[in-house]
Amino acid sequence: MEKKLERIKRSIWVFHLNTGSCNACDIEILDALTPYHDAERFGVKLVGSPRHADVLLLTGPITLESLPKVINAIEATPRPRFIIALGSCGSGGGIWHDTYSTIGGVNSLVKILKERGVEVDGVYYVPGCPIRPEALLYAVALIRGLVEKKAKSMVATVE
Amino acid sequence: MEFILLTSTSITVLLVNTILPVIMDGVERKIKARIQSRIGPPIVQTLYDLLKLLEKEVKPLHIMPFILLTIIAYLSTIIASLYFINLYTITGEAYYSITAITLFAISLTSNTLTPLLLPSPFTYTGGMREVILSIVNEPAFIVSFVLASTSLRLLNLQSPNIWILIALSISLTTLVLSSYAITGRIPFDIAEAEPEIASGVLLEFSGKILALLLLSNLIKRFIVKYIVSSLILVYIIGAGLTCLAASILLTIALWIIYAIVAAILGRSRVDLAPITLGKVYILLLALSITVLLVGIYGG
Repeated sequence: MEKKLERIKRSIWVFHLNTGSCNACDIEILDALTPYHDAERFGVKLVGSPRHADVLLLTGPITLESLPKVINAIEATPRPRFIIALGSCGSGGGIWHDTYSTIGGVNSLVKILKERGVEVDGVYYVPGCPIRPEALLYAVALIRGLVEKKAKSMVATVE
Repeated sequence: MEFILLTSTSITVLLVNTILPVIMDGVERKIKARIQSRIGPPIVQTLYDLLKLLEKEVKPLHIMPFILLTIIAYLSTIIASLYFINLYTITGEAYYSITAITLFAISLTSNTLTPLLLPSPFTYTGGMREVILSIVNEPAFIVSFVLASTSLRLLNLQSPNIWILIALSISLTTLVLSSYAITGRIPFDIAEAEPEIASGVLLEFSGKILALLLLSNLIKRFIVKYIVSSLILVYIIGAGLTCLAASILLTIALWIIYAIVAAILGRSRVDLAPITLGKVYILLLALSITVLLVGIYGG
């Protein structure tokens, strides 16, 4: 697996997976892929099929309507496969985190995938509403090991 | 002894020619990036892509054995074609060039067949577009190759016949034009058509199979230019190892020119590019045949 991950780091093919977002993050993804930001210099290529992809750029809070299609797309992506959850909605559901029609972001999705036996090799979070193109490039650089992780999980206890 | 030397040289060059298209694709991507004022990927990026795909899981398809059969037929015939072009460039024997062209035509047919076996509508649409392009391009490529090689054989450099010279120029123009169109660059990328039918012919393939198909397509891009280079240089500098090296260098130069042209051109309407191309081919080939006949019988 280590060898496979090393190979993927040098050639990251991404598939854009909209799961019911407001399209603000989607516009920023397109911006990140334009010649101005030049994501191709990191080996990033936008592909038209999940079968070609290594990384799924997931936007939106994952509506119940889109959930079966999202699972199909993730299953169609050959392993090793990664998810970059984009925006507040993708990362944690945003303002839709507890609404009746969404599952509330990528964490709930990973739980559902585990129940169904679908493995994902890694999840990266890019929060923001909408995300900036530079933030997406930072996530790519993080996968490649070019930059340090900015956030860390910490549990604070109040006595 | 001579046969062993010839075979070993051809196989060595074959290995070089299989790796070279992968590097040249990286160069093409770099050129495109520089034209668009950006840094672009490293030159070895395509090699990284292929190595990565070899490590990826293969998603199973319907009728997998048939798919594998057509892909292996495509790859093997295209490599055999490359081998025979090497032999032609070293020896200058016409039957090697005929074998190479025949194998190349078979490989293109195998490539056209693969997407039509799959039930996906996107792949099928891409496959049908590939068929249309093949119907337009392949005859033009083969006929212009025959006309150009006939004109070259009839041309006497000491006292050139002006009609044969004109016929040669027209047939070479057709050959270069068809070799550009066969490579599937803009505006003839309608079979793959990433922005429109989501990679078309390649849509359903993954992992090692996708890597094999991409490698075959890159070798196909190399071969069409290599055939043109060999045809011209075998006549100008004579067959041999010098000709072989010069042919590879001319192929690299042609690849760079095609890359610049592809980066400058825009996409056209799906049906417009093949129809316009077909009309241009008919005109050029008719003109070339007429002028050649005038050169042979009237000059």
